[in-house]
Amino acid sequence: MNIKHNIMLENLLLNIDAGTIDWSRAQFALTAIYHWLFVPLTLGLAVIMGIVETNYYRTKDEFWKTAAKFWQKLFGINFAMGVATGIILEFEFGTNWSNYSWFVGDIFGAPLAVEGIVAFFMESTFVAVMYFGWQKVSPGFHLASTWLTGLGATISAWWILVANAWMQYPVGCEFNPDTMRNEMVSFAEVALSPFAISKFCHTVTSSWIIGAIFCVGVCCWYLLKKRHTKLAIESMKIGAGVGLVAALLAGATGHKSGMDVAQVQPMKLAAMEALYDGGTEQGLKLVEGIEVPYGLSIMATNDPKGYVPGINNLLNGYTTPDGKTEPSADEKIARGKKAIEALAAYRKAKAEGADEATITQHLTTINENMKYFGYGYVKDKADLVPPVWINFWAFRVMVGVGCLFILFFAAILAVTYRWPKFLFGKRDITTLPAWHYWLAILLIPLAYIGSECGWLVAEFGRQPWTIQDMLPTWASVSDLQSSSVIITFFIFLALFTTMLAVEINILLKQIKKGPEL
Amino acid sequence: MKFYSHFIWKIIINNVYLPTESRTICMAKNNIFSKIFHLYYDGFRSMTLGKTLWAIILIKLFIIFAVLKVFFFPDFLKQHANGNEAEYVATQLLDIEH
Repeated sequence: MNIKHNIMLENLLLNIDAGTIDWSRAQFALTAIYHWLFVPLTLGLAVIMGIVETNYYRTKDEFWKTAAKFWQKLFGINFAMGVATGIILEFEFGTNWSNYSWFVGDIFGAPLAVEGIVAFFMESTFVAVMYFGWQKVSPGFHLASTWLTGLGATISAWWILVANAWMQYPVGCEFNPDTMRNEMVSFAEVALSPFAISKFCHTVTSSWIIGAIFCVGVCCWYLLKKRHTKLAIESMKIGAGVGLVAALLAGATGHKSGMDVAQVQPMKLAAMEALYDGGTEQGLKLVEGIEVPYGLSIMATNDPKGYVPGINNLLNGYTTPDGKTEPSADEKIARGKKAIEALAAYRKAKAEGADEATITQHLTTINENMKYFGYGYVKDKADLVPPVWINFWAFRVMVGVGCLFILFFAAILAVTYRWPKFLFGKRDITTLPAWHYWLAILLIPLAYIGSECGWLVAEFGRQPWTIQDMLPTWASVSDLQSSSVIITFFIFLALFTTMLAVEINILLKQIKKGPEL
Repeated sequence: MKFYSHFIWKIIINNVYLPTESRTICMAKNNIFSKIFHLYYDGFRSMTLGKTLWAIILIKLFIIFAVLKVFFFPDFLKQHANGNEAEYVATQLLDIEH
C-alpha cells in the first residue's frame, strides 16, 4: 500500500497548471494591494475627523464644525471608493483557491461573516448619522456616530486580520478527516489569538500614520497656496500629533509582531534578515554589512543573548541553547507524507467499512502528524524558503519609513508649536520655504509604500504556505486553466486603476475646493 | 379647484420640503421610525458630491456582482463537486479514487 501510495503522492497535484498558481497568487496580491490603498486611509482619517469633531463638541466653535465636515468629506470619498473592493478577495477564494476554501471554510468563514454583519450595521447606521444628521441629532449623538463610524471600520479590520492571522498561526481548530475541513473548536482562541492581536495593533496604528500624513500633506498644500491657513495649522497639529503617537505605537507593536513571528514563523524572520546560519547574540542588519549588535536577538526574543535560527538551521534542524530541538525539513516532509497517507487510508477504510481498530489506528497517525500535514506536499525542501531579497528589502523599507515618520511628525509638531523658540525665531509654519511643504506632500505616497511593504513582508514571508505548515499554495489552488486567471488579472488591473484614478481626481477636486465656509 | 391644488401643494411643502430646522421640530413629534426614515430620505435628497459617490458605488457593485461574479468567478467546487465537496477535495489533495 505504501509503495502504491508513494507513487500516488509523486503524482499528487501534478495536473495543476503551474501558471495557475503564480497567476492566482499575483491576482490575489494585486487585489489585496489595491484594497489596502483605501483601508488605511479610512482607518487613519477616522481618527483625525473624530478628534476634529471632538474639538467642535468641546468648544462649539463653528470653525471646528467646518473643519470636521471637510475631513469627513475626504473620508467619505475614500470610503466610497474602497467599499466592496475586499469582496473580490472572497470571490477569488471560491474560484481560484477552492481546495483552500474548503479546507479552512468554517474557520475562515466565521470572522468574515462577523465582519460583514458588523460592517454593514455599524457603518450603514453611523455613516448616515455622520453625514445626514448634523441638523437632526444632538451634537453628542453626532460625535458618538463619527467615532463609531471609525470604530466600525476598525472592528471590520479586526475580523479580517483575525482571518489572516489564523492562516499564519492556525489555532482553535481541529481537522475533521471525514469532511476534509478544519473545524473551529474555540472561537475565543481564533478571535483572540495573540498573533491576531499583535497584527491588529500593528496594522491599525500603521494605518493611523497614513491618515496623519494625508492630513499633514493636505494642510501643507493649503499653506503652500496660502489658503485656509487656520484650518491647515489647526488640522496639522492634530495630524502630526496623531502621526507621532501612531508611529511610536507602530514601532512598539511591530516589536511584539517580530517576537510573534520569531516564535511562529521563524523562516519568515530568517528571510526578513537574510540570516542563513543563526545562533545566539545575533545582530540586526541595517543593510548588508552594517548591523546593530544584538539587535536581532533582542527583536526576536527580548534578550540580547537570544537564539535566532537561520534558514539553514531551519532546513537542517537545530537545538536551541535551552535544549529545545526542532526537526529538520526532511523529517517534517516525512511526517507530512505520513499524515497524507494515513488520511487517504482512513477515508478508504471508512468507505470500505473496515473495522473500528483499523480506522482508529489511521486516525491516531493522522492526529500525530497533522502538525506537519502540509510538508507532505513539498518535493524539494528549497521550496520551504520564501523569497529572501523581497522580504529583506520590504522589511527595511517598512521600518525605515516608520522611523522617518517619527522624526517627521516630531519636526512638524515642533514647527507648528514653535518649540524650542530659539530655533525658529520669527519663523512659523506659514513662512517656511516652499520645498518644506512639497516634502510633506511627497511623503504621502512614501507612507503607502511603507504600509504595502509591511504586507509584502507578512505575505511573502509565509511562502510557500497558505496555512502555515498545513497547506502550501500549490495544494490550495483550484484545478483551473491559467488563461482564465490571467484574463481576470488584467480586468482587475484596469478596474482598480480606473477606480484609483477616479478617487484621486475627486479627492484633488475637493481638496482644491476646500472646506465649505 | 385652484384652492384645493394650492392646499395640497402647501401640505406637500410643509411635510416634504420644509426647511431642515423646521422639519427637526416637526420630526420631534414623530416616532423613531419616522425620524430614521427622514434622516435617510432628507439626507439622500440633499446630497451633492454624495450623488456622484453613490453612482460610483452602484456602478462598482454592478461590475463586481453582475459581471465579475457571474461571468468570471463561479463557485469552483459547486461546479465540479456535484454536491460532494469533501470527496472532491479529498480526490484533489489525496489523489485517491474510492
